[in-house]
Amino acid sequence: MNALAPTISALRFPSFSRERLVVCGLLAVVSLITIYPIATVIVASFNAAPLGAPASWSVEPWRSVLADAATWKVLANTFVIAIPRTLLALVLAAALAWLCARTNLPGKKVLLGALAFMFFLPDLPWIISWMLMASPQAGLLNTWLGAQWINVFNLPGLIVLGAARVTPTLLLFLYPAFLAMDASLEEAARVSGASAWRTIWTINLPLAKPALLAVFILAFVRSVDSFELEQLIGAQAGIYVFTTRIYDLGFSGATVMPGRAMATALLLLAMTLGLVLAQTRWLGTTAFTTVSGRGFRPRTLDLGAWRWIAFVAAWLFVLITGVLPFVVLTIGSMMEVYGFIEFRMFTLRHWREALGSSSVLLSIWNTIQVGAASATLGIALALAISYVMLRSRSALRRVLDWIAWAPWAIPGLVMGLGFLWAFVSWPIFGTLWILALVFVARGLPIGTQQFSAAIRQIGAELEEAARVHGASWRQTFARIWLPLLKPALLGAWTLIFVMAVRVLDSALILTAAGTRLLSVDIFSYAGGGMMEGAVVLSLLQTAVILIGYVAARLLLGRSPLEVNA
Amino acid sequence: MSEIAIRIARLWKTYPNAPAPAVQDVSLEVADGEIVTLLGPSGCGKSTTLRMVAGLEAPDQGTIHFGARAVNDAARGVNVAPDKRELGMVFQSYAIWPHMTVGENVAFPLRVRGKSKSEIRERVAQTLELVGLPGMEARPAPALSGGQQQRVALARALIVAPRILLLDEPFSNLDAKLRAQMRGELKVLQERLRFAALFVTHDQSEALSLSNKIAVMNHGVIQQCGPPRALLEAPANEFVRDFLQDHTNYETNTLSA
Repeated sequence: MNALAPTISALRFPSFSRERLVVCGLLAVVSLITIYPIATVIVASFNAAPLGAPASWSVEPWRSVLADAATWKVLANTFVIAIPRTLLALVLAAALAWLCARTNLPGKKVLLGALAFMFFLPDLPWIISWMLMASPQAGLLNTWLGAQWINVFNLPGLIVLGAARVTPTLLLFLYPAFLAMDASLEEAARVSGASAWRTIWTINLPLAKPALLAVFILAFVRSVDSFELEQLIGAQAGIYVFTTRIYDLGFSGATVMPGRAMATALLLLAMTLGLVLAQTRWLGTTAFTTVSGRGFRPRTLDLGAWRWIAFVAAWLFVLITGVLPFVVLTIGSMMEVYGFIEFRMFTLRHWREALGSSSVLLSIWNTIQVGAASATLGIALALAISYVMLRSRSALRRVLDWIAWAPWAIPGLVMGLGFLWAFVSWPIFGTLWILALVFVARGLPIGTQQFSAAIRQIGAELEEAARVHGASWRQTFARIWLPLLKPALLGAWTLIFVMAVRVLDSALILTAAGTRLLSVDIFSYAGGGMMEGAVVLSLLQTAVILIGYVAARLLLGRSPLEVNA
Repeated sequence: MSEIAIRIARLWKTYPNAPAPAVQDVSLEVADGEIVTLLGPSGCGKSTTLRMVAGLEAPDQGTIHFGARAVNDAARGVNVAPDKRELGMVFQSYAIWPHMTVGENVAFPLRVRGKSKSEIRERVAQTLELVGLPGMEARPAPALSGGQQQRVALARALIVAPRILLLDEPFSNLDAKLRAQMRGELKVLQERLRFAALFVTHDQSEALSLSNKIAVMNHGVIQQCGPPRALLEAPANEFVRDFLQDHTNYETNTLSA
């Protein structure tokens, strides 16, 4: 009975009817920003008319998409890129997570901190920097090394860059799982006569399999719905995947065919949704579960002299994929011509121009507004959902949980398309609100994940003690809940803020003349060949993210994303 | 004869998806200045009964009165919210709020009742002294030992001088020596403050040494209710005898207490 007490509490809502009202209200709001946009995509996929023409309903878009060889080509490309990319990232992340969690690697706390910080770095600047460093012939790396062969504008380039970029994210999932593994299981194998390697193969790997599988699917889905890298580097190399094909069909191609773009988007959605559902089916939960090892320090493996080799390798990874791109970007922003780093070319002209331009300043201000609004609304909505999930006994709460978690499986580009079609005639369209709303939707899984873990840790007795000693529901919420949830609230706020500032795909589709964001500006500068401007804007975007990160760190006294569970 | 502080009558509670009712037809009275213990194995319904008295669970049937005031009457749809019951309660986990100091924890019931700062300061100091933690107001709550947390929980429960004190396995997380000491202190406090205490435990010796009356529960039903000596001398059934016997074989000395 007592074991059940922390999760099942009778401290429900003040009355049954109010509970029902709250649950239904939340369901309506969440459906509006998740189910409704996707439903409009489905409807629009049966409209064969080109953009601007009156609707003509038929299955023509589906038939032509399925009959089009290009569809199958992008499907093949998507997998040819995603599979090796995911495997490479998984190997890198597992190795780094294992080094940080289970070995005597020197300075592993600092390494973990650096890798966790890399998670927050924005993608667009990183990609722009690699375009600068690793283009064929003139790329800086080729110049420095006297080589000709370094080139990321090809399949291996897309695979390796994508893998390197997603590795810190995967590490954040794997590290707690590795940390929580019971060392006595390994020791029992060693005592029974198994060698260190045999122990890893027969004990550690099978034990880590659920975590590794979950992370594999997460990385795979992220690869399939990735857009920035595929558009900026892949499209230039003539390699199209699902996301870039959708963008081409719907926005940038010769004749814009919305119906076909929607049908292609739904094929992509079916793929990601299938993968995520398969994952929950096999593995039970979404991947963002952190196992807390409260007061439990696992014994670590002595690597001997190997630890210095591992040390150098791990820090090389951090230097090459974390530090180098941003250093090059910073220096490159002060060069007369993009792509050269020479002292005589030094200039601050690009910075002066950018900071003197009212449209750039507006983009910065818009970006901050959208980030702050989506983070604030997102955590409020996610908190309400998490509370209902834990305290309500209404049957509808299961539906609510599912809908709030759905954006996890919806590619950002598809979400953007859905919002475009769903809200095009609403007054919020063309304002910053539509951009904030799409990031609220995409932030819901992040928020609910953070909060349900935190709420479960708080336990019901702390809340009950307040009620019994005279606090009303509202007083309990303000005095017990909010202070105890502060770390989770700030953490989720920062994660959503950073996402809204850096993500391009949804923003690109929903942005309008007066609502430009930094991400969209970077993309259009880079797409238009104005790399100097793109570089400066990239650094401005990085700065906005760093300010958000540092502010959260100061308020919390630690990293907004806790990995030292 | 003192007045009845808690009157539980014909209480029923079934959890959804549970095969059997957690509490079946439970009736019980606790008079002012009395300690009544609900004793039984885990899952016997004692905690559920206590939580219904606290207002943390709603009974399906039956009534609960505090004095003349009905706080639960399932038939008439009466279910007073926990914060309107004017109780003190000590939880098994102590439920000390980790983000507050000792003083803030103890002051909480007065603060939500909107008392003045000076009154709060004075009464917090008095109550901490009462539970043997004088001058500890500024200590952060997580830095306390188990025994000290227990005293803070007790102070918080007693600060509004409630007529009724509920205790849910309050001593089960303490070591044996400390448990005996806290039992003694609770007894002394109760004789001074004359609250009516409803006490839940699975520990026979605790029940026998502390209670004016024991209600032995099993499978949601009160098997027998009476003074400790009466239960020992004339157990109503096998279960009551076995459950109490366990203890009397080893610790007969506490009976004279």
